[in-house]
Parts: sequence; structure tokens; C-alpha cells
Amino acid sequence: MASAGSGDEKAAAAAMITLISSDNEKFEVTEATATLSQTIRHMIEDGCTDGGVPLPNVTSKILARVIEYCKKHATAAAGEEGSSSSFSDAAFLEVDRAFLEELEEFDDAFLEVDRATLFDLILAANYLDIKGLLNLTCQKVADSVKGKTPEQIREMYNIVNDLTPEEEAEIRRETQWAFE
Amino acid sequence: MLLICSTKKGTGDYTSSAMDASSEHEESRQQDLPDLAPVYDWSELPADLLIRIFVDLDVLDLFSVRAVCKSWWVYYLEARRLGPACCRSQSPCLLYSSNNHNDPNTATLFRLTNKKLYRVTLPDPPLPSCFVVGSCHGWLAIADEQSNLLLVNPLSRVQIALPPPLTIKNVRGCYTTDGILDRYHLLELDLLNQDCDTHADPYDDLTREQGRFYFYLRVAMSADPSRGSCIVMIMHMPNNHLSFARVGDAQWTWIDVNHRCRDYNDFFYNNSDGLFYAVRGSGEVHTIDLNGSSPVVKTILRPMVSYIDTNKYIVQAPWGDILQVWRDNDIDEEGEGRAIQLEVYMVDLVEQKLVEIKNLKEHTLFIGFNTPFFLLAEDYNMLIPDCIYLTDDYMDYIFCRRFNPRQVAVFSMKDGSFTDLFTSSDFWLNWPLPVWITPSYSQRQKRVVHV
Repeated sequence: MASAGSGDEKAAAAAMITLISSDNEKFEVTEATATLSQTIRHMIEDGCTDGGVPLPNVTSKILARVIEYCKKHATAAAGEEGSSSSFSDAAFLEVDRAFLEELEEFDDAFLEVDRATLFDLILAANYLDIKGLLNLTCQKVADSVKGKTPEQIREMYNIVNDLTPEEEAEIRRETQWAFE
Repeated sequence: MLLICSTKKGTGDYTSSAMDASSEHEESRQQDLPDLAPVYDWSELPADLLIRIFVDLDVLDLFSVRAVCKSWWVYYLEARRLGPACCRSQSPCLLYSSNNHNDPNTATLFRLTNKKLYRVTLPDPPLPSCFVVGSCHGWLAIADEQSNLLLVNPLSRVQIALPPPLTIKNVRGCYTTDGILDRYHLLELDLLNQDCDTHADPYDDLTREQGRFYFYLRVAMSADPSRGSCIVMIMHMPNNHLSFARVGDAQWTWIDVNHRCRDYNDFFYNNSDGLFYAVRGSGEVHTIDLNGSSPVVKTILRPMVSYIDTNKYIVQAPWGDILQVWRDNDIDEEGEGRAIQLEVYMVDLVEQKLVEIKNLKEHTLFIGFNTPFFLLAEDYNMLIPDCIYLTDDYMDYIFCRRFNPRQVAVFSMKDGSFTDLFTSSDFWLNWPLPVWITPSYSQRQKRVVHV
């Protein structure tokens, strides 16, 4: 099974997939990069990728960013598989740590985007079912609201307060709680 | 090598008519994008995504997001229904009285991770009248001025009454001629005869208010008291005996299994084996099994010292070891009681010895009247790894100097230094006792009231 697996990986590395954004821009990516998306992985498995994969929910601007993320993380996944057999454990751990740090830096830099882009990245990560990217972007939103008042959150995310006075009273009743 | 190339629209071989039609539409939208950008409506983020974001928040932040708009409120309620899966994140807070005379029921939560203050309103009795004797699973254990023990969730304001003091084995009531409970008599306990020593004079004669300083030296719970079966354990005088009650019980049950069931210092409930672990002043460790019809006590670590000069805590580290923390308190030249030394030991059950450790594997430990707990420092802003955050729980000093300043400090295991988190001019920190708590919102339990 192991040898058959590595043969398949070589074949997969060579295979290219074309992704088509909502504004009809085409992106050619390796299968290894594309299959970080479970949605695309299923399409490949079902043989529905001839002539490209249309992604009507993702604009070219966002798709380019998503591919940038997948490319980096696909390299990480490939690195893990390759290293385990060719390095001694100690050397592998060293490489692993350096690479993980690099990946973390990449993720931090990747998230330096405006809120509109972040919003689109979340929706794209959800639609394409890319678990790592979804976790990363959701965590970013969670971090951004930590320690904020409801007013600050509304301002930050352009949200209109549509709660009626009765509903606000009900929320207050639930917990007598406030910022000091 | 991995290759990515972006090709301009129309140069590929893609020929889906449906796609072409939609792309035209998209093209026009694309041109409008700069104007559209501000109308991204975060209130319309799909429910499953929003709930996923909420799950990463602790309960204090959840209270903020739920009040943002209608849809976030609805999804917050949804997220809360997920129960413990939601709110995995904990926020270490110091809870103390807000010292607001107009509103004595307010308490302040000082959140360590962002140094923000939150005000919570507690149900009666007013916090300044209470002795805060413990915190566990986000609940406070408080004793009122009649020395009744209550569990309070400061966020949901749910309150659970525990059996009255008169049901503790060695407590007797003294009544006025009108039949009103006036004072408590505390009797000596005799483990050999498994009964109170009624021949000797009472150990102490206490006012109803004083009782709480003798009945609840320490309180711990086996679980969140609002979720299913919860056992509450108390340590009481004389000689630091243990008694327990299940939430809903009518009385306390004294643990009188053998002659060594006394002189305890601290205890906690171990979720993984369903046993309480208790440490005695000598460093001896007992497991207490309350799952059967009668308690079973086993000694798992023999006594370590014969001369008892430190106050001991027992806690399970996240990496599995059972640890003891030895705390040495003293009265300084200004008459203030302070911790002057802390030592941490790993319990080696095989070799039957204690091994001193000099770090907490990057964790932070919280001790005081709370049930000790660990947090991984890197998960929380502002927490310093390998440090012990402590509050004053020096009972003799507290009883004599109730309104003196309370120590709230950080002890560094690296250099043995203590750093005060507040200055002594923060007078509100004296009474009720400030205590560490990781707030949680739980409310399922209907109010339990003893009649």
C-alpha cells in the first residue's frame, strides 16, 4: 500500500486543476494545492473537474488569496510526509519546528487584511471547505472582539443595532452585567 | 515543485454558458466593488460561522457579542445551547466587592488577560456581608452572616443553598428563651468513637456570625453544581475534619473512616478517577471515594514531615502529576499577613516521596480560597508562565484582621520573587476576600431552597 501511495502522490503532484472565479478569471493550481479544499477534492473524486472548476461564490481577488494560503499549506503537508522517512527523528523535529514557525508567520501576515476581505475569506473558506483557513479567519474575528463593548463591536463591523428596547431589557435581565 | 499561474479571462478553454452568463453579472458587480465594500453586513454572517466564532470566546466576551444586534443575540442563544462545547475558553478573573455603598450587591470582576473591569450584580445576601470561602467551576462559595453556606454563579445569579450549619456533626445550637437560634457550640470530634466528644467542654462558643470562620476553612465541588450530581466538601474545625453533602442533601456527612481523617489542608476532585484527593498538614495524601454507600479513604502518600509549618495545597497538573504547593505565611513588620515562601512538589507515588519542581511547564497556577487551577500561559495574554498567582487565605490573620489589606501577588518560580498585583492603597481589596474565578454561565438548576 505504501509504495502505491507514493506513486499516486507523484501523479497527483503533476496533475493541474483549473479554478475559475466568479468574475471568470482562471487559476491553474496543482491538485495538491486544490485538494486542501474538501469541496474541490470531492469534485476531483467525482471526476467533475474537466474543463475547470467553476467557483461562482468566489471573486478572483479572494480566490488569489485563498490559493496563496493553500499553496503554502500544501507545501507544509507535503513536507511532513516527505520528511518523516528521510530525516532522523531529531533532525526532523528541528526542521519541523522551523517550518511551523515559518507557517505561523505566514498565517499572521496573511491575516493582515481589511474587514471586507476577512468577511469574504471566511465565506470562501466555508464554501470551499478549507478547515485550516476557516479556523484561522474565524479565530481572527474572535480575537478582534475580545474585551470590546457591544458599541465598539458595532462600530468595528458596521453593524446596526436592531434590538428593540424590550429585547435589550431581556438581555439585561438575563445577567446583571456591565463594563465598569 | 508546485506551480500556480493565473491566466486572464477568456484565454482558457472553459466553455460553460451558465458560467459565462454569471460572469457577466459578476463583472458589473466587480466594477462597483469599492462602493459596495462598506455594506458588508457582518450581522448576516451565516449562523454556523458565527457560532464557530462565538465558540472561541469566553463567557464575558459572549455577553458583549450577544448585545450587538438581533441576529447575534439569536445565535448566541444557539451557541449557549451547545453547552460545555461552547465557552471552552476560560478567563481568569479576580472577583472582589465593588465597594459601592449605594449598590452593595455589585461585585467587580477584574479580568487578568486584558485588565478590564466588569461589574456583576449578585443576588442577596449583599457581598460585603459575606465570607467568600471558595470558588470552583465558575461558582462562588459564600457564607452569610448566619453562617449558612451558599453557592452562587455570579453571571447567571443562580444560587444554591447547602445544608445548614446545625447539620454538621459537631455543631450544636444555643437558643434564646424565645427559641431563636443565638449561638453555635462547636464540639471536639473523636475519630476513635466516630462521634462528638460530649463529655469535654465545647471547643468553642461562637456567635452566629463567627461560625463561618470555623465551619468552612475550605470548600470544593466535584462538578458544576448546576449540572447533575455534585458533591460539596467542606473542611471544618477543630482539627480540620472533612464533611460532605450532595447538592440537595439535607445534612452534612462527616468523614470518620479512620483516626487519620483529620488535620487536612486542602482537597480537590479528580474527574478522571472520580475520587477526592486530600492533603494533610504532614504532606500525607488520601484519596476519598464517595461513590459507594459509605466513604472509603486510602492513604496514597505516607506522611512527609512531622513538624507542620506550612499551609499545603493539592492540585493535579495538566500533565497528570499530582502536585503539592507548600505556602509559608508570616506577619510582616507592618502587621500584614503575607506569603513569604512557596515550594512546589511533585508527588511520586511509586517512590513514596516528594520531588521539588522549579517550573510549571510554561503554565500559570492560581491559589487562594479558590480550588487551585492551571492555565497554559501562552493561551492567555498577560499571564506569566511558571508563576503562581495567589490571594490571601491566611485564616488566622483574616479572622483577627478582617479589614486589613489582602495580599494579591504573583510568585515567580524562576527567582522566588513576589510581585504585588495591587498596591495596599486599594482598600477595597480587604473584605470580602478577593478570590480567583474563571467565570462560567450555568443556570439549569432550579433554585434549591431548604425549608
